[in-house]
Amino acid sequence: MTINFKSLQNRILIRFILLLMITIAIILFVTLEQTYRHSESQINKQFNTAQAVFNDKLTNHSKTLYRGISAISKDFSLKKLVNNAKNDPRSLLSAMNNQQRRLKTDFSALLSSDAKTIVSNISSSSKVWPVEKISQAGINILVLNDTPYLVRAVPIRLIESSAKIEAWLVMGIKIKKLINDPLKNILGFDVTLVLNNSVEVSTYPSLASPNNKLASQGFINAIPINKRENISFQGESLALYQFVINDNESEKLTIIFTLDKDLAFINFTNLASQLIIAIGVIILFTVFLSFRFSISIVRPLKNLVNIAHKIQYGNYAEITHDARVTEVNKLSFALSNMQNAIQQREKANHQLAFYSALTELPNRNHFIRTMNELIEDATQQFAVILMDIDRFKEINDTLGHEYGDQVLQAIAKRLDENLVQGAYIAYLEGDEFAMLLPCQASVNTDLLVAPAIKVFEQFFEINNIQLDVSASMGIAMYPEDSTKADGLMQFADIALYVCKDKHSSYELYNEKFNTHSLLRLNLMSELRGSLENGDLQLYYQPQIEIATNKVKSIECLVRWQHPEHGFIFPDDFIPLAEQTGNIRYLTKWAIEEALKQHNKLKANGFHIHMAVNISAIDLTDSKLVEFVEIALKQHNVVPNMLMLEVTESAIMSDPQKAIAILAELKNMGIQLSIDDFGTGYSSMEQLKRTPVNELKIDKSFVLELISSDEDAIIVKSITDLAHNLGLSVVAEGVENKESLEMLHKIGVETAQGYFISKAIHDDDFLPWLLNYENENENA
Amino acid sequence: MARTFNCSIVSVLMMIISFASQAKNTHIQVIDVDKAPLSNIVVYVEPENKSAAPKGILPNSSTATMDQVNRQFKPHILVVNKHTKIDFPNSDNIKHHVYSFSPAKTFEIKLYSDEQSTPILFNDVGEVTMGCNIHDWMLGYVYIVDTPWFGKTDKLGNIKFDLPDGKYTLKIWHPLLQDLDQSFTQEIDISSDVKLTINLKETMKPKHEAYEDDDELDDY
Repeated sequence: MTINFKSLQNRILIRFILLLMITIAIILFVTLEQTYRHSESQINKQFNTAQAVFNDKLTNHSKTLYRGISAISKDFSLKKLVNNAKNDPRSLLSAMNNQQRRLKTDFSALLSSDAKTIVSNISSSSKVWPVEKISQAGINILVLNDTPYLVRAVPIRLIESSAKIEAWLVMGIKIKKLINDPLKNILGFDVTLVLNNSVEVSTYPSLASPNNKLASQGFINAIPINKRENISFQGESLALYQFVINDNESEKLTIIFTLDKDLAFINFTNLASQLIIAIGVIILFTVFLSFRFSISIVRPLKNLVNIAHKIQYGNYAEITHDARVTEVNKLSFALSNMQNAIQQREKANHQLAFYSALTELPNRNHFIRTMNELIEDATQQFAVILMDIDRFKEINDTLGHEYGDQVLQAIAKRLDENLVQGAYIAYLEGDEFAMLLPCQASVNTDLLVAPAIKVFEQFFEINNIQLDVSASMGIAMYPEDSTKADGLMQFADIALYVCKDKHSSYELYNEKFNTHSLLRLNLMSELRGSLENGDLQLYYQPQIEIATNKVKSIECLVRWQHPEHGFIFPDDFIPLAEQTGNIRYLTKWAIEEALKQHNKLKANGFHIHMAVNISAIDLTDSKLVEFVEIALKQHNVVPNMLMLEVTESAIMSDPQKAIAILAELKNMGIQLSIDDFGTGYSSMEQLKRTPVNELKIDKSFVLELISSDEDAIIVKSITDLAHNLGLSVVAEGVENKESLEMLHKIGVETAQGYFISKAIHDDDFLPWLLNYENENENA
Repeated sequence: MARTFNCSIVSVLMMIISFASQAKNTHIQVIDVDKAPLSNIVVYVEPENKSAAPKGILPNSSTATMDQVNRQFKPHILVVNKHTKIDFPNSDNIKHHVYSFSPAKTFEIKLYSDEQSTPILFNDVGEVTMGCNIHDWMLGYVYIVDTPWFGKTDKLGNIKFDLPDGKYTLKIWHPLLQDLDQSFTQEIDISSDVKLTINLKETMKPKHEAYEDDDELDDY
């Protein structure tokens, strides 16, 4: 189990407990320290008291002894015996033994006035007794025959009041006898008598005899004098106190008090255990309280976290407020307000995301989503209708965008009002509407679209202008045509285009409409990638000067070798590229490639003009001129070596702008040519204003030049017209020698076609050119 | 003590009066190391020639008295010529048990207040220390000399003898004299009046106060 230290609950808990622990530790330390010291001082005091009591006991014994022998010393019969000691020592000794028995002492001796033994029942090592000392009051100890005695001497005066000391009477008690259990009970300690570090007698069993474990000299030596010591020795833990009771260094006699350490520190131990129990209870109680406290904060927070999680997934619920903790309460209100705000904003966003602000109809996203929902449902067949307002651009252009918007709003309103029950209408963008109409499989489409068509039967009156609006519609059926939303949209779109082409009121999608549709759409997405990959290449078709048979220029033609679809004809992808705007990249790429080829040929000694096709879209691109200028400089090519070919229709789409751009190009010195001349509907007026150098007669007029008189007349006329306008003429589609000869007769300057060469791959062009020139010279 | 002193003065005076006409006046004073006069010091002169001593003055069996008064010996120190019988009366109404272990005279005598005891003859010279077996504090001395000229100094430390012409040895004794002073002797030649001062060489022994010292009996 891991503890999350960042959780508020745990933090509160940990801090509480930590604080508590520190407090308790300090209190515990101080209390135990003081108690231990108190216990120590108590035990020290007890030892000191016991020492005093023991000394007092010994003194009392000494007094008692003194009293006894003092009385004896005054005994008249003893005095008589003493007076007669020399003659009758035996009587004296037996009298003394008798007195000794009466006093319960352990030895007695009678000494001469100069302290030498006269009679004694103990052998003393020294000849002279220390009577001066042992006759003093207090504790007198003599060690005789290795036994310590409490001794006392009193002088014997034959005449009691005379100063003259006749003899000394000495008696002693074995100190051993005094160390007993009653003494132990009075002192409160075990008592041990030690002579020269070896135990004489002890009330403590472990010290009682020299054979016991604690009685070793080493142990005794370790005990200091007049100072308490705690010693643990062979499993016994004792408080000890030793003091000396005699003043003889060579026969040191000490008393040791001992007490089990447990007993010595019983107050401390008891207090410590009580404290620890009390502290345990306090800790438990505090942990419980702080747990409760942290829970009271954390539980409502957890609830709020759960609510926040729900809000995250859009599950809005009523938030209950917990007023117990102010901060939590505030938070819960804040969350509640936040939830309300999110809900409102979500609504607004939803409106923005899925509805058109203009028509208040669902937008494309909503339309696709609704369609997907229906598809997912899979229970309802339906028709997808895309509707495009005819000539809406004109309305916008002539009456203004604001007006156009009003028209769209009116159409939306009318569609909404008139469509059948269950119909779903969306406004996609521009002038496009879309509808989902639930229907049966074999529905009559005429009936299906009738309500929609009906919408446009009456004119719209907006701002007092009566407007006749018509619409084109493409229909795709679910699930017959497609089971996918994008498929249905695409097919409906294709049907719509067909409808527009045919100028019919509506068109139901038919597979025939869509021969290339999928391929075309895919190609467009791949065109730019292909440009970069080198899948697109320029092929070169030579144009010869008919008069000299020399290659004067080459037209650069785009070929697309698709890795999957194989060779794709320009007619298939150029229009698409124009629609999608990708034609710009294509054109620029082609110009650069052409210039590179020009330089390559130039390096081989050929000065050949390069003709590149540009489209209507290029003529709306104001940056084209700048690009060409830069490209020429970059490749260091003289401008008149580049020829740009434009179709009539390209100029026609926006003649003013097209002519302006062409004029700029021409000013730069670039050659311009009108491609496919004769197939468009250009006016002479237009032609007159168009700044070109050359007309290129469409190959449809040249292919059958020999067999068709009309074609010959047209070619002749165009040539004459061009020459009259100061333009040169190129004929393409020259496929035989006869045609070439006729063109020569007509006065066409340049020819292009299979008779000369088809378009040649870059790698093959230079060899072809060398070969052609070579043959030409030989001819 | 005072009474003992007065008593001896009286007897000495009597002796002086008795022999004044036949003898020269000898005046002796005893002073301690501090020149203070010492009373109650036994002073005696022994003639060189014992036979020179007047018979009349040397009683063969004279009698002296050592009384027991208020549990004390009276006098404290009794000086006698040898062959003197000493009577031990008992003026107290309690029993006494007087004894001596002194070599000059060892004796033991029980004295009853209503009974007359037999006097004890002291034949040997020397000191006899006496105690009472019943009353430890009782202490008395009998000092036996072999001369008719003896006495104890008075309050002013003076003693006078009327001595016939001749040579004498002067001696002193007191139980508390130090050994040096105790063995003091001086030859004197009496041909005229003599005035002598005996100056102690050492401070006298302190009086033995056995019972006052004994604090160990306080508990009783």
